[in-house]
Amino acid sequence: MLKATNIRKKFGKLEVLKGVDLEVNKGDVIAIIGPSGSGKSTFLRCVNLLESVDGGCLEIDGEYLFREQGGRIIFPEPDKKRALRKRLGMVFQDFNLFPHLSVMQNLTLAPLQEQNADRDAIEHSCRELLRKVGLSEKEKSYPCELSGGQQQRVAIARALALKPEILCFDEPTSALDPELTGEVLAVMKQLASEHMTMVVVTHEMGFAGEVANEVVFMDGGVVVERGTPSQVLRNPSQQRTRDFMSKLLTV
Amino acid sequence: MKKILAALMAAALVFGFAACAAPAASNSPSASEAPSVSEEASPSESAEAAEQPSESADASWQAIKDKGSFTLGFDQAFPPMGFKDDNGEYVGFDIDLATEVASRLGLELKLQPVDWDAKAMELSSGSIDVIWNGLTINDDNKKDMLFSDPYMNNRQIIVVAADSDIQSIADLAGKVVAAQIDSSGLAAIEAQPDVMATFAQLVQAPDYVEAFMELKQGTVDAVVVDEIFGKYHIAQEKAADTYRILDDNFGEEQYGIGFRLGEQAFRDKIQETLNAMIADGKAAEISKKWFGDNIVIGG
Amino acid sequence: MEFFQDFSKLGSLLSQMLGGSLVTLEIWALTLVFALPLGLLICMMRLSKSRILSGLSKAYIFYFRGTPLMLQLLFMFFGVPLVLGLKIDRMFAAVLAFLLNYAAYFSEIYRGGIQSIPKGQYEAAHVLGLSGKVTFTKIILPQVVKRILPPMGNEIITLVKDTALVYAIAINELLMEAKIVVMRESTIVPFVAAAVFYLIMTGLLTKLLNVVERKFAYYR
Repeated sequence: MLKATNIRKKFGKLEVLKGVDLEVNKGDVIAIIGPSGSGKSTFLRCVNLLESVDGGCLEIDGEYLFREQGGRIIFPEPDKKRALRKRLGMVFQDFNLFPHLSVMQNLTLAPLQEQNADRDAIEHSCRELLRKVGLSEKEKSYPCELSGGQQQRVAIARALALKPEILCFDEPTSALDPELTGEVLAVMKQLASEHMTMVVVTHEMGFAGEVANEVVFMDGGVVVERGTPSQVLRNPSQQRTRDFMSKLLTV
Repeated sequence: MKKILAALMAAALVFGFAACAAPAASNSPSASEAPSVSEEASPSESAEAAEQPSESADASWQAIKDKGSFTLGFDQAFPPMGFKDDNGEYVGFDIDLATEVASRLGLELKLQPVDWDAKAMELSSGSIDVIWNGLTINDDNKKDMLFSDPYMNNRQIIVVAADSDIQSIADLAGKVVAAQIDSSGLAAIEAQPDVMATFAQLVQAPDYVEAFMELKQGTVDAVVVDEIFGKYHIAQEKAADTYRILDDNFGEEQYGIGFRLGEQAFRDKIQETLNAMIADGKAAEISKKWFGDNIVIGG
Repeated sequence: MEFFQDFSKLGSLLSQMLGGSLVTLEIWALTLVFALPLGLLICMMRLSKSRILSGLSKAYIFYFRGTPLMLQLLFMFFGVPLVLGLKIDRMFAAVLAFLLNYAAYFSEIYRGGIQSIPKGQYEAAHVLGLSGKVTFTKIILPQVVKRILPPMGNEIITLVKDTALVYAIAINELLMEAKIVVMRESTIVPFVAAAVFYLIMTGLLTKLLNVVERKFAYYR
């Protein structure tokens, strides 16, 4: 349902993405791994239109979100772009909750902006989401009153409140203390078991091995290797992948 | 669209200020155009008036008549000539005089306090029609305005502490002397540069009360002040024995009414009425009310 | 002090000072009402991608921050009428000069506040599909308000005292009224009274600002 083709991105003279492809099908859980600076986060940010791209094409169900034409990037008209964009959800490394809003307000703000929004229905479904991430009793709290793990769970619920078809995670546990990563990964596992389509940039090899149906290894701005977790994580065909895996093991 | 409009407005403001900066600083060039000299001017007794350029047929008096009023600018902190009293009313010797003049001419008198430092700008910008508030007739002021005949004498007296050893202008050598900024007292001192050079320092106080306070504290040794105000202040402070007025002074001068340059017809009309008041004793009556004595001159 | 024993004089002093305080407060309030939104507009121009808009805004700030308020006040009352050939009301000139000047300072405070909001807040708003308007009014501005309260509070209190400058165009605000009585009665008691009046006004404002800051203390 999502197809990224030949995505290229430069920061000044530095080429961080040298033509990356990715295809996501319904129900997929794709883990993108790789050393820092490999471009994996940048790629996810490009897919979510948080960074401008220098080349490539992004389609959702055959409709392009951006594409290259005559050396320039073109977008669909704004309404269409927004509608397509809404089919993607995004969870950040630093949560990026709105500090001045309560947990409930963080969840309801975006859905309430939609036309004919029904406040009662929205609040009801958001309460349901909070229950799902195990934070029912925190709906009136403010982000500063929550632990990092709790904040990230709120962020996941906030992304889900817009009913995205694909949920993207950018290193969702990297900013957390080790003892707090478990609760976030548990929520993500639960989503996977409910067949949520997910693209996860992560350093959690355990999670990648256990939950993902496809693992993508990126290095130096290109996809080096992709395949099932057992192929890529346990039996990599490429030298660069093996080097990366062995470094992880020796730490 | 709204953004663009706002931007344009902001631009207009910014450049508007830049544009008006120059003329504002150069003290109203428009008001100083040379009036045509005419021999037919109303006969004037005093030498002062004869020197002034006059216009026989300017529209200034007609304009005032049409308006039915004229606006008097004064320093509301200059008792007893013009000031705000206990009840918040503007009163004073000059204001009484002007009120009588206005009523004899069938005009309404409007009172507009001004900052004394900005009086010439107020006059040329048209926010007031006359400056009538113990205004000294001197060459400096004549550049900015047209004067009436003098109606009162004033001296720039020198006030020292009662126990001071200063007895004369010569004794001011090596002393700290204070005068009000932009005052005729200051001008009188500056007119005698060799005397000024002997002072240890010449302090320009923002107002006379501060100058007197400095005298009391001993931070200055002498204050040069208008006799009219100096005597009022000493009487108010009930401090006749703390101060001493020297026999020497920084010169006699005269008070007059200031008009916009070129408004000879209006000036003549006011002068004529004031002269009549001096002749029939009304001016003397007002003078006695404020000073206990008739100190009005001219007429 | 003899002055204090004469109750009628004390009464007239107080009523004169009260009148002056009202003028002071009027200039203060009108300046704030207009300068707070104008400052925001100038700040938005400054931050806009258009070179022309941000250049204009920079020029505006350069002029109004770079010249004394007193000078701007005198230009406004004596200069503008000279150039445009129109008469301008004293109070209008005073408020206009003050609000244009303060808007320049406010715009820079807003800019500091807006630029201190982490990029992640914009990104979160973006991925949630919030429009630019909603992002600004519901996400950025409320957080900016909390951040700029302390520097704004400073300016708002400074403004109370800056109003004393309007004496130059002969508006009788508090300090001018005090000076009139000083000259009339030849005593400095009115200056002491003026200080007390200023302290009452700034003291109440400080309290009010504290209350507002506490209102925003619910989050970090």
